[in-house]
Amino acid sequence: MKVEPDVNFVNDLLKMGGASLKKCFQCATCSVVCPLSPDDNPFPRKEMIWAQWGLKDKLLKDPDIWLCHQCNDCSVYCPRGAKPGEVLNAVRNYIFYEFSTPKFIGKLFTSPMYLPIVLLIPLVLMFAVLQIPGVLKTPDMEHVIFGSFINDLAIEVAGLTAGAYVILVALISFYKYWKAIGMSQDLAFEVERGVEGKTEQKTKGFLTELWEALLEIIKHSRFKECTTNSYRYWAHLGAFYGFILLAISTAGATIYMHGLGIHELALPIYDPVKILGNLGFLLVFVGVSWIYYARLSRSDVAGSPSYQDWFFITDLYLVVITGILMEASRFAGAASIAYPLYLAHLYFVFMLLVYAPYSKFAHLMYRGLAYVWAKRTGRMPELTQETVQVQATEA
Amino acid sequence: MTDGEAEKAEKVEKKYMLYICTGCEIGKSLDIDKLKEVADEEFSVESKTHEFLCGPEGVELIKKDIEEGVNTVIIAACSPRVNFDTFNFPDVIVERINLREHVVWSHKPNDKDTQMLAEDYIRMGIVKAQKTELPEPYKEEITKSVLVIGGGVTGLTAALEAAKAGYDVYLVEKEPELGGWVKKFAWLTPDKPPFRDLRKPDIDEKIKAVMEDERIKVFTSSYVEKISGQPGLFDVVISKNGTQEEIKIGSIVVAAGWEPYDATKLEHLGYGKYPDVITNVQMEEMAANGKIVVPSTGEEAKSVVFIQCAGQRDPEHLPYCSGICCMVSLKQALYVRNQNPDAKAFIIYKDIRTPGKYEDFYKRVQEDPGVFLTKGEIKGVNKTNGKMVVEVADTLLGEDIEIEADLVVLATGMVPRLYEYQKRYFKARELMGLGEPTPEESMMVASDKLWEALEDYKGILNLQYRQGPDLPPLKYGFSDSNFICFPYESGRTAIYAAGPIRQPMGVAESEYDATGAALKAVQALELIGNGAATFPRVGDLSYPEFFLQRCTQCKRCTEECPFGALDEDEKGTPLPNPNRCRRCGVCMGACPERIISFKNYSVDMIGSMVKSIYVPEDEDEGLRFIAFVCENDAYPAFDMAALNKLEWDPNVRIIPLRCLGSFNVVWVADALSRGIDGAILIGCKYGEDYQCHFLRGSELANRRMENVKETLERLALEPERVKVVQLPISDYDKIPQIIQEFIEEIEEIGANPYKGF
Repeated sequence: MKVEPDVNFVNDLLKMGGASLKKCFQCATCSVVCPLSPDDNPFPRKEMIWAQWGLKDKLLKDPDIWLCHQCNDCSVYCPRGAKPGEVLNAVRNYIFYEFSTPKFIGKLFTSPMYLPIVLLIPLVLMFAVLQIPGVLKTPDMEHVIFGSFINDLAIEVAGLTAGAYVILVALISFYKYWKAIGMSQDLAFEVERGVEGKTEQKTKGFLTELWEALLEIIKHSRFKECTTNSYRYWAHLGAFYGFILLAISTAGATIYMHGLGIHELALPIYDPVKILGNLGFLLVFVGVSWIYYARLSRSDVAGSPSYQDWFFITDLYLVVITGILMEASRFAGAASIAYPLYLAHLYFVFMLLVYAPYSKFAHLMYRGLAYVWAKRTGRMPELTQETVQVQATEA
Repeated sequence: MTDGEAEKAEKVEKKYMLYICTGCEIGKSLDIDKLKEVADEEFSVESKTHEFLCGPEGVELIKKDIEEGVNTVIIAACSPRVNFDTFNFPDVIVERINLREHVVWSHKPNDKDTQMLAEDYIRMGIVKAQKTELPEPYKEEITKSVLVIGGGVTGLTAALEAAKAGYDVYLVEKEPELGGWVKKFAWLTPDKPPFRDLRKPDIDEKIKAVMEDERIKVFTSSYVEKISGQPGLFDVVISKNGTQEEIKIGSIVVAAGWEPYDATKLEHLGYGKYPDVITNVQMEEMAANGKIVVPSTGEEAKSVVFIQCAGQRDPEHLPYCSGICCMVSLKQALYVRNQNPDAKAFIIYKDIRTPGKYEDFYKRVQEDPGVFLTKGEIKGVNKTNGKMVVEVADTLLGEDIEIEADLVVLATGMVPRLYEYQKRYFKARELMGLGEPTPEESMMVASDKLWEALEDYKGILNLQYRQGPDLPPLKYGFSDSNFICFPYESGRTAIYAAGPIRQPMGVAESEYDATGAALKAVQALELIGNGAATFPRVGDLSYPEFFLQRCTQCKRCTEECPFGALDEDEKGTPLPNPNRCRRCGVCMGACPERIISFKNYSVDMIGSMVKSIYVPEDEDEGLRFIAFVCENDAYPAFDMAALNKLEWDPNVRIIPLRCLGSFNVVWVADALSRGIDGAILIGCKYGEDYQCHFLRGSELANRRMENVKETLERLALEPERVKVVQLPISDYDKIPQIIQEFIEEIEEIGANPYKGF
């Protein structure tokens, strides 16, 4: 292989959360302690030197980086302070950028320098939508009914439009990454095994692999392997299922509005949809708070978050906090607080949605794809004996 | 006893007193009255006991007796390795008997065998005291000046340090200018925390300080033509542009340094084949001249590959690691990066070796985003389309790689200036019909063969010593030294090696080294001025005396002296140079005529001690063994074993020797002809990684086993009765086992048939 290190790529990774990457001296302690790495050609030792050498092509087509859940055992045990966990996170951040569509929007998430633009775009869009006659209404100050403030239909149209855009660009990015990691050669798949040459493995078929991958995701079984940061399993599980509950309750609300014809959506607290939503809120709130706490109070063990991490969890946090405050002020009948909070909530939700393919939210798609790839190639090792035993005792 | 010896014995009448300490469990474990009986009945030596002899009261007791005329004090208490300052009485013979460590702490208390052991040690101690005289030092008016050879950073530092200590210094440099290699260097690796920034060499200030120092006389474009005489009294001839100057010198620091490995032998790495492949020294010179360019085009070098261990750690070239090239390449990578922020520096290594805190410098260079490091094996260095292409296999990147570069820098190693001398040693070995030394062998060669091999050799010191003109080298041409404990020492007394002639090292280490060596040189002057020995018997005032009337000119002593102390006249009679001597007694051990003795150490003394041991006629009373034990490491190892409550067989009598090399074969006859069943010689590890304090004493003792075999055959005894064992001091815990194995071997052979004769 002819090597041509890309110094700019190294510098980008340094800035995108991998500030310690040059410290690695290749002892491979990381690969040994990693509970998630396969025995054969394990990560993250090899990724570390590729990153140091600026071997962008190698890293961009290496789905192994998604098999890492930043348990941070590697960073904790690294004798050199090279923090492989954070470096792989930086590589993932780079992938958000590299495969983004269009790339200039992805670029906005590579540095906090662009944060004002990132904040301004949804603001401007929202402002523009609100200018459309009939969208903004005179709110009912007696009873807090959000539909009386902003036209529900407008929100639905805006949301569906944004959603369509997101799905479109996400699909394009998905396809680009699909090709990059070699999923397009779908029958006989080749995995590079470094010095040991190449092995071939038959695909079990995309659907089977997808199903297996989904099961892993639903069970969070790989997250569970984390030992140094075992909190991550619970915190992520909370946020993940909380988010799903919120999605279900949103669907429920839509059914209420369109299926049951309830137009004034001010559900009482005992309504099943409301209960699901509040439960979802609670799970996300606790999960994200936990992440915040761990990352801030013991970043040496939990890992220092990159800008992308901050942006994503903060936005998510603001979404749920404004949401619950809205609900609280509605029940309290504090209209003057409730309506501005509603605006803010819409803003954060819109941001979360419209930036999903560019922000850390996109890990759902890339990691999901990498899981499918890993199921296809056998890169996802079986659970360790230890975990199996733990599960047996728990059962 | 010869007439001369009888005369001396008459001169001072000895008044003995034996003091037995009963403290530290001695009194509780032994029958002290019986010990006193032995002294009194067998030797008519009076004795006193005290329960705390090393306390003020005990010492006062001895002092009072000395005032009243006692001049030979025999102290039966603890090991001579402890309380030596407490029991130091000037102008009095002091003999120590080690009852504590070697008897009561290491054997069963109140046991018949332990008692017999203690009694024998009393006998041996008294006999030793009888055979000891107070040494009179060999003193001559000496010149307290230091010669420093080499005007590089090491030599300059040594000269300054010796001058600062108040000694006159003569500095000899072969080049017209002082400063050596460092003068050619652009930058140096950092030597202080945080080990991040390169530093400018301060060599010019050093040169200035040397030139301005009134105590230092500098000879440039000069070399040492000849050194004769002995420490304190060296006659040195310095040659400058064909004219000679003779000076008197006391001691010498050799800082002749190193030269880069001949890169023309590295054609497989492209050197000589492509102009754009250069050495690290060339790179340094280029940087010092201002710009790093591609030699073939003269353009700025933007991509540079450093190949580590070029011709190093390679049996075809230099088999060793030069220790500094990793730091040099890391430093030079920064040259490349500092010149152009877009430039790339690649370092291909076998291992990065940045000892100690230099690791911080490695980390600092690693941080640079334009420096790329990987382990790898160089498969080829070629030129394609005007660019150098370096092919590397076994990389950490997981596959073989090709790197395109403007410039390739070979990290070549350091060759000590004694390398040529070492080659002559190999040639001498060839003339002797020997090949490479085995790990059990040192570089020792026969001096006549060495001189034959030297022919036109131009040396560094040009010593007029029988054993050769320069410092004895080790296998790879570095100066021989006591590597573990006393690095500046060489195989020549009062001549100290410093800097890369001794071991590959960088600038900061060379400066430390020079300081150490300069102080050793100064210390040697003071010791020699008082007639005292230098390392390792520092302060010893005895020296070997030769009863030459009986010399048979066999030349064993002149050949075997590890320090080249003995020259020869035309007939081959030894010409001693006491100031060159380290008092190891190797000559004494070598001499078949037994004519070499120290006032307080002689063949007769040890022989008499052997003969004083009580050997029971009936073997049921126990066999008897002697352990001849090296004083430097093995003896303290026995003390340590005792301190750790290890027990060994009580039928072994320990006799300390200055060095196993002073073991004289006649003692075997002395011992075995009296019915002693076996003798074990315990000394330092010998061979390539020797630990002998006198370089090859233990190795020589081992070689003498051939003669021992002859002696045993003459006595019709089994050769297995005498054995040499190597014991590193850290292996003290193996002592009981070593002794036990030896005893079992002898028991298998059976008791000595000479018992009772």
